[in-house]
Amino acid sequence: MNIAQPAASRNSLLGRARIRSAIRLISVLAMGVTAYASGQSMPAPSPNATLTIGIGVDLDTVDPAQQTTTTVQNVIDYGLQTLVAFDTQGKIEPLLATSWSTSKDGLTLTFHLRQGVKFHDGTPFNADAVVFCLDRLISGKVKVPIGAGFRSMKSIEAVNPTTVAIHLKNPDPNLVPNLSITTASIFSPSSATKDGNTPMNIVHPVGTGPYEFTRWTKGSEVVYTRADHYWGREPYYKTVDFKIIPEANSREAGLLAGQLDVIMNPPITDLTSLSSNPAVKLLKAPSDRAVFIAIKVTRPPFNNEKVRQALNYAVDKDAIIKNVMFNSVNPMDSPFPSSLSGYCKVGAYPYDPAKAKQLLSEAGVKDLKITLGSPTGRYIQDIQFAQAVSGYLRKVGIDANVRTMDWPSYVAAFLQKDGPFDLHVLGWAPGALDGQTQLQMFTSETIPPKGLNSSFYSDPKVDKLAAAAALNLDDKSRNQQLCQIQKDVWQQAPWIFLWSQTLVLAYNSKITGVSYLPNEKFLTMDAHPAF
Amino acid sequence: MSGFPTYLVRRLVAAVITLLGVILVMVLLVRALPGDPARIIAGLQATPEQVEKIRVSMGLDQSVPVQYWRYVVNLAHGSLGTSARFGTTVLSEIGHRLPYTIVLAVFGTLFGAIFGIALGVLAATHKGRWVDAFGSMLGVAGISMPVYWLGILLIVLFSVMLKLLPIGGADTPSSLVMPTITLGVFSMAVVSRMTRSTMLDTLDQDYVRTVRAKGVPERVAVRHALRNAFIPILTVIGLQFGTLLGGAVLTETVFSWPGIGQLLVQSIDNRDFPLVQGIVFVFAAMFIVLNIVTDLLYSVVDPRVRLYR
Repeated sequence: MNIAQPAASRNSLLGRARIRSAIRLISVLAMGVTAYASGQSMPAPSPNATLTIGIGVDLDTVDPAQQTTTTVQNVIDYGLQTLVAFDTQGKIEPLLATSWSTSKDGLTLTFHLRQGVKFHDGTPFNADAVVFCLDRLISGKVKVPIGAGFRSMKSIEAVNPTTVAIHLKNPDPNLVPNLSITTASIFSPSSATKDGNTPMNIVHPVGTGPYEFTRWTKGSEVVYTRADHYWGREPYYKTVDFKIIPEANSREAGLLAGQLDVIMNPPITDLTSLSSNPAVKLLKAPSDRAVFIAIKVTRPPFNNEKVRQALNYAVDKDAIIKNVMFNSVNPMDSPFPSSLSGYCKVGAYPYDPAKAKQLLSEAGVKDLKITLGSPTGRYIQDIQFAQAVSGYLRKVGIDANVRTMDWPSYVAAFLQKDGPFDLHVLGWAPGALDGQTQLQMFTSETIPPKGLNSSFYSDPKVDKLAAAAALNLDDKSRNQQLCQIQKDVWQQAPWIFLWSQTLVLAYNSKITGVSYLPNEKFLTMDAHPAF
Repeated sequence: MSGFPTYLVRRLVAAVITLLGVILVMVLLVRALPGDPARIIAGLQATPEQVEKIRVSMGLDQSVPVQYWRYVVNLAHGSLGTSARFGTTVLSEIGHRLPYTIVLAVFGTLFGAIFGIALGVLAATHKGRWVDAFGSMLGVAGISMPVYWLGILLIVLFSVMLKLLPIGGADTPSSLVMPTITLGVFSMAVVSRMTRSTMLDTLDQDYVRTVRAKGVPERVAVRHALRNAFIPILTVIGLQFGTLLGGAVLTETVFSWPGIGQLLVQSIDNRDFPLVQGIVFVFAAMFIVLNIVTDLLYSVVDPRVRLYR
């Protein structure tokens, strides 16, 4: 399970420009990277070429509503499509819907659907299919683990075969971006009772995408074949074979042996050697995943803002990024990663152990012994950087004992107010690139058990601004509200702010056109051999 | 009724009682794991109502005795339940993955037995010479080499450098080569050490000396000795098979082998109780059957061993 939750809002022009510039920067800086394949001319579709992609996650489902991880979404996206989608620059684009509008009262969202599209089983894509799939998300009959972003939907109505109206309980600026998430994919209703599918559990998804789901051999591979009558541009590769290879070193060996064309997340310690290998290209894609150390603010002495700020000054993030993270991440300068809409740069907590000691002294803290929780293998180098942080804390007189657990136990532990961790490592990625989802980490209403505000941070001013932003359909004033929240949260420091993670891909240098989306997904629809 | 049938019935009754105990321990232990399984299955964003619904559907709202009783009754009807994560029957999930692990364990055991016995016999018959020293060195290496490290080394050698074998998966028979070696090396080391020591004991026995004194060729003498030394070796091989069955998790991970070890880890991570219980139950049942079969094999190997009166 990923703590990558959906919810979103519109991207402001400001946000888009920033994302574009960030992408440009990364494409220049990253080692031998081809960030996206704009300008590349696509060769004719190959009659038999196969693209083999090594992924590290063993799928637990191919049902779009029931998935919980970005990698699983990434795989499902090859066959299924949504009404709207993000482009490579984080901008919402039409996909199965060609246009949409919101009623004046903000309570009805109307989508006009693409015409002439057929599902892979030959049945037509229409409003009934949209109603069937979106109703599944709110009916309560199907498990939707990351369904919070769709709770504003009251009902879905097929106005005519090419028009769908979504009636809302309240105005929701986040719903359109949320509908870009794989959870809201549209599949053929008539397939829901065939090939092992039931309306409650889809094991053979039939969609409208460029690839048709062919087979899923659990623990081994998922295979897609190019769809015969795709409505859009046909991809080059006839077959895409996702090989499930949990071990990063094995994936890397597969790439070097020529048995895999693309791999996700090669061993981070090997990035330097891979970058100097002419047979390999590396792509370090900025993502929306913030990685941080949450501080239990309810627990003395962490209820004192000075102590929390001291923790931020005590840790040399730049040194850890260089020596432990191998420069594969980007330091945070706001509680929001820069790819989120509503982001504004707030500042920095530079490494300053003297200031940290001074703040601790002002707070009357000395000889502090604490427990720092970290998962192992959940985030890039997680337990390793937790140990590095512990070392820095020791230098300012805080004895931080690093403790790890398996993931479900870890989640259960950090969600308890009186749990074993004073500090805990966590990553958080709003799949729809919206700042509103990031706020789930900072509002009173999402303090566990209701939500995932695992630092138990609560500030009435932030709550008020967050509630106002959630209903605000005006991008400009909404972004101002979000920016103010970021400033307040940064100042009060419920986290040790670390970095935003990157999605690292390594691929055969004879291939071009591998690209990415800013929400931790890769794209190979434009991939083809570099002739 | 006496003799073999009685013995078998007694063993089977004992097996059923053991399995009932295993189920009890399993039900208790799985529930002692931290983290609310209903919450994990429902997702962190689920409402309390949704979580409750899943709790009821998994039977977790019932007391432990009731859950135990239901499990046993379902088992009697041939059902191990439905996977909370996959939504399919536990039997079908296990049915897909178990054969891979069994194949790997069988090949690993065969590798370990064949090379282990050969190495052990050679070491015993060449005691104190370089063959013996080489065998000792291999034994120490085999026992102490981490599976993970050996696996990666083999991949680098055979896949990256020589480009002979696939890095993983279970697509072709050649996919089996590296996992078999990786898994079998430990077993080979254990079997070779056991073979060496029991062979040395046996080769010192009077009857072997007599055979040698009669001028029987050495290889025949060794064959005689080996047959008599075989019981402890067989025990070790039987135990090793069980160990390999359960211990293939790392090998399966390194070589992306779609066996049950990976499924078990995944289902523990997902707190998919029905699947965890199903896999543990099947493992326990296999261990018990394996033990019975090993005991029965004793009497085949050595007619002096009588398991029943």
